Amino acid sequence: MAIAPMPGPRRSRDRWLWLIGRALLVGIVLVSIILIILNRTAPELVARWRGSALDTAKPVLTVVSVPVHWGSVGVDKIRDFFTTHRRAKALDEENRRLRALAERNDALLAENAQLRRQLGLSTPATKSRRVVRVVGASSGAYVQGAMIAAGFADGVMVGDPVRDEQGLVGRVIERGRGAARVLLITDAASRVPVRIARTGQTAMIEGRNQPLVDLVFLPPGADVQPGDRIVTSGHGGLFAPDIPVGEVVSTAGSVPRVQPIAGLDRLAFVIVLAPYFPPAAVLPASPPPALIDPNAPADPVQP
Amino acid sequence: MSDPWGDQPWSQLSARERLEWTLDSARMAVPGLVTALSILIMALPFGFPTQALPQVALLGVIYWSCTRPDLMPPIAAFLIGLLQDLWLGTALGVNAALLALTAFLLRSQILVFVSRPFGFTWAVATGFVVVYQFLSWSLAALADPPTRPLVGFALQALTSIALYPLAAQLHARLQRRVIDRR
Repeated sequence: MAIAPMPGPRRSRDRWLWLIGRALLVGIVLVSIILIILNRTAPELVARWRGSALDTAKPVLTVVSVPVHWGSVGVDKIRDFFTTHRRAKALDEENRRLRALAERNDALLAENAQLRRQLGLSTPATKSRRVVRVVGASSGAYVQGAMIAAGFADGVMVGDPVRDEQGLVGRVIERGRGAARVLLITDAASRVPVRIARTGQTAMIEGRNQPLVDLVFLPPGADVQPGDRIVTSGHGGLFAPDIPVGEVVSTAGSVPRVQPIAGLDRLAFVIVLAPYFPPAAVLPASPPPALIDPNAPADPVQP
Repeated sequence: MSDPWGDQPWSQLSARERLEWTLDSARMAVPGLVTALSILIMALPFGFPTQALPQVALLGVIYWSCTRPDLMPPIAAFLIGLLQDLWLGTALGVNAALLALTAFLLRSQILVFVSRPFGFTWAVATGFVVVYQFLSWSLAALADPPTRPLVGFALQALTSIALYPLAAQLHARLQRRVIDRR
């Protein structure tokens, strides 16, 4: 004889829990799908959420990143200890070469300044906003980024170019109150207009989520050689011209590869710059305060 | 887990007993909190190419879903994934959805893990990590073009699998010290 399941309170409670669990799972899946779609349809909103989330991570990362920095400095010191002799010889050699170049450079600079004055050439000055500590990195295969300890409270804006003492690092893509995320030039979503310093040929560098970046949009048969220095071209208005970007290390593949000159894997401090040429003014979303000032006379002509 | 106070109504507990009960219950949130905080390990500025840093949050979710699924419900895994997406800048919702699914799938098969050697759990974790990385690569390409190189995701899968024994040991220690303590 079949025994009918007992409809006790225990059983119905388990059933309810099971049902709630399933409903929750369906809810989670739906919310995830909406969030994934939001990445495409409302990227500004997602960036704003991320900016706020950065602020929550900042306190912990600021504390923990200090010993990590010490650790990497320690590793550098050990490496220096073993390679000092070889590096000293190489530096001597380079120094001799650079001294000769520096003399020529002085003369050229003076001549250049004089010619600029005569032509009345106008070049926007590069303004740096501030020097900021790097407190975090975005690891993983997905994004190549760094988190810096300054946000809109410090005047950092989305789009600000970022460099270190050697060269271009990237640009700010999200910001919170006291923290911001920098998209490194090695990220797959990064494109920077550049110029080959030796020939003046313009091109773009394109990140690949790898240590080296691609030099793309070169005309066929362009003159590129290993050792060529790559600098920003200033096109697009975001990055000022002539910020060092890197050096061509290989021309063997289908596209030349460039080694970034900034120490992207051991950033400790970076310089946040103001955009070279401020983005064109957009029409204000709300009328300027003067137009809606309730105390303002209705007709400005009347006394 | 036995309830030391049985079915004592809350109103009959003294203030001290209430505090003890609250603290005792708060311990159950430790696995989720520790797994969430472990995400920050992936955000530290290490002095080497950080592309291959393991998915530590995924490892935590796998460990707790195989051993104490009651302490890692899919909703907790979802929130941990959301935090990872926000903190690390991955496409929003990708890790959230995948971590929640991982927790759900593992907890639904919890009996499979009873009295199995560690190697078995490791093998299961390997399968989950590989599928997870592939799905997160495809979802990221859908949600936030351009498509990232798959090789980075594969590298990350390898380091995650290699780190699983260590991560499991750390979480097991946490379980002994905090959760199973009586």
